[in-house]
Amino acid sequence: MEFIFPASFSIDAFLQRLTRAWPFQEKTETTGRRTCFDSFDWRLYARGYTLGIDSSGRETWLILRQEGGTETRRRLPGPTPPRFAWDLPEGDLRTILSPILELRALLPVVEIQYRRWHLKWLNKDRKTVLRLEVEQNLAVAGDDGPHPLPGRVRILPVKGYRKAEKRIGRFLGNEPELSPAGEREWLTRALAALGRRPLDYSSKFSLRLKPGMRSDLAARSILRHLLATMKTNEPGLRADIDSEFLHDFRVAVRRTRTALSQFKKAFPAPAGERFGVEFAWLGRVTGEARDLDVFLLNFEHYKASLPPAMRNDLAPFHGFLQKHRKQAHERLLHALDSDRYRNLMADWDAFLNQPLPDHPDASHALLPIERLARRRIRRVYRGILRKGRAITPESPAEALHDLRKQCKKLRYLLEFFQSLFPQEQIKGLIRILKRLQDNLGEFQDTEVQQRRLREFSREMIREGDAGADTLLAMGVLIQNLEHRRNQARKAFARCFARFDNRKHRKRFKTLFAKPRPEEEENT
Amino acid sequence: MKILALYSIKGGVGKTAAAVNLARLAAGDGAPTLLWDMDPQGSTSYYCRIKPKLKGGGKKLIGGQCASGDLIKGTDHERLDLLPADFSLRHLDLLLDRGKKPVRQLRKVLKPLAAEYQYVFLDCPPNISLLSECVIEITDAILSPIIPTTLSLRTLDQLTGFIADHHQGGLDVLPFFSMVDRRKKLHREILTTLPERCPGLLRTPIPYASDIERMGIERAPVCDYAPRSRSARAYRMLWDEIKERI
Ligand SMILES: Nc1ncnc2c1ncn2[C@@H]1O[C@H](COP(=O)(O)OP(=O)(O)O)[C@@H](O)[C@H]1O
Ligand SMILES: [Mg+2]
Repeated sequence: MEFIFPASFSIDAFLQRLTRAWPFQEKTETTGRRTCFDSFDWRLYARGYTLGIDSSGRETWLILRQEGGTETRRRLPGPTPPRFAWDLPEGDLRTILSPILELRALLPVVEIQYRRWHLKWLNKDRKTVLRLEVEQNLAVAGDDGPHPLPGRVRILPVKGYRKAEKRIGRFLGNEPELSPAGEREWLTRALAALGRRPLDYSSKFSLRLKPGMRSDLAARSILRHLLATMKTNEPGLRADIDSEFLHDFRVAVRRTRTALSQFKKAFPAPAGERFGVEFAWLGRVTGEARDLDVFLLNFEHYKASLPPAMRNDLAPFHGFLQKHRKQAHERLLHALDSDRYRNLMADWDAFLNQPLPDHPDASHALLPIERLARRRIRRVYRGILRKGRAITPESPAEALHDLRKQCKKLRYLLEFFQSLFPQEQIKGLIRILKRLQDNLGEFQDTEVQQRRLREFSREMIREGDAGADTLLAMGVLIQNLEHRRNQARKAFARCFARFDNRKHRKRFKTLFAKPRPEEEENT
Repeated sequence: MKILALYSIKGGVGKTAAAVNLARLAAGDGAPTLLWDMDPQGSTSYYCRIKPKLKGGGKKLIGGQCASGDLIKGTDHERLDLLPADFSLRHLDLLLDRGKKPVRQLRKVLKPLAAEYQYVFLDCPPNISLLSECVIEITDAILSPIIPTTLSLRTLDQLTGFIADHHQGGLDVLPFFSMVDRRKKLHREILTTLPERCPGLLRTPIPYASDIERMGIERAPVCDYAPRSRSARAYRMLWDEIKERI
């Protein structure tokens, strides 16, 4: 059982009350530091976990707690925190954290200094029947010096001695300033005291729109939201904390481009065009680093696809990727430091924040967003059906690539407008669409990766990085990719037919039908 | 969950002392650990300051009428719990009725604990009995203290023979030297010669030390009251070695 008390709580008086009322016979005091960690997108917090590194004296522990439940801990050889799940020592902690964190790095969320009183209640054999910890917390860094945070009381029950636990629990429950709450709640309050909120970032697009909003206003809030996403990810991308900052940044750029073209008629034309060109540029200059990230992230997978005897031949390729990844990241930083980028961000921000005209020229500016949403989704959906149905086994690859683009557009539209429609239904449609996207993605990605592998091998020869064995191994990779590409091409007809079945068509149709005139009047 | 049994055909060789100290170290490493005192004499329970008594006696535990989780008691150490001994356990052999698939009965006691504990240490009574046959079948490793005398070498041979008879391999048999007195010539000799003959032997010897004898007075593991002593260091090294071997 755990309790939280406010930073202003008088611990001395509390300890006196406690030891006067109960036979605590041993009291020790420790001080130390605890840093709580989470990924940038709060994956641990979202799942009810808290992860901390606790150092006191020469001991450093990595401690994972689950809300209302178990604690898993591991001694660390030193105070350096693990950055990724794969840096953790093998064992329970890694098994639990790997599937949650995936590619995301652990970042310090709050760093505290604590003073902890350990109390023991002993029975007549001097056997411990209950342990209690009282903890006073101080946030370490802060602009205005250390910042007092809420403290905690934890009952550490000893199995088989329920009576003591119950009695102390009741006593603490009657303390007016203690409120029963676990570590996750404590973290929430500690963050609040520091002016932060957990779950303040998610890579999922979520924005509430009102159905009757003017389209130019709604489009602007979508685009502002995306701009905020870019800005939020920029520092982590620059610092190269993990690959997902760049990924999320690029997704925001792509969504912005889709929004610009889909809501063309809600904005003055010249503005839309200019920003369209600029965001296309931003997509290009961030592409190279992402490409290399993808190769590095897939590397183990590639390696495993080789015959065992060839796997080590791939090592020089890994070195090559890392070297080029580093250079690409430097070029990316260069682009982000350029006037072009700075101007784009400043102008875009200004554009999205200028007052909306009462009588806009753009033809769709005043349309209620719900109507525009339905119209755009209908249009793109119909295009997908038309284009997909025209694809035969003989169609060129470009036809599938084009279809993939349309699917992506539809996906973004569904995500932009999900708040306007019943959530479960939108989710279902996204799932259906995603299956088709996965097939088209596999088909195109395996093609692009083959092309990149050929380019890489030529570059490696030029740079003297590759021997015959490495090139041979890369050749096998190309062959494996070609095999996957063929499989995906073969599977397309089946995947598309599944997407284009009557049941799904009906769902799309009913959800995004043109509103009947009487409905329209209500909006 | 790893089950480690402290077992020897002989009594008074340091099984209980090792069980308590090793379990304490495991818990100190952060692993939830259970000590099961299977010896009706209850020395392990005594060292943990816990009465050697099971509610309803051993019969309910083995018979399954009482969940093992309800009989477990926390010790003075975080993450270290004890399943106490009970005088009725002197009949454990009889409780483990041959007709009723005794191995399955023991497994049933341990099964619900698998999610909670990373290590279970079984402190076994000496001798060869139905209980020891069962223990050999359910454990992942046998830790067996050897006092370096000619007689205990014979005991070691008997042990390996016994295990060979009752286990089809996959069991780690890890003997270690216990109560080693380096002033004795025989001890020194056996310490150097035995490792060749017995490849599974752990390298860290536990010295004969008054610090260890004092456990009976302190009622605590050595590392708690004499953390810097030679004995505490020896148990530490032994435990590190065991972790690598299992
Ligand atoms: N390494 C040692 N040095 C000195 N005395 C020891 C040592 N190990 C055990 N003893 C003592 O010897 C006696 C028997 O030890 P114990 O661990 O109970 O053996 P077992 O469990 O094998 O019967 C106990 O009194 C104990 O304190
Ligand atoms: Mg014993």
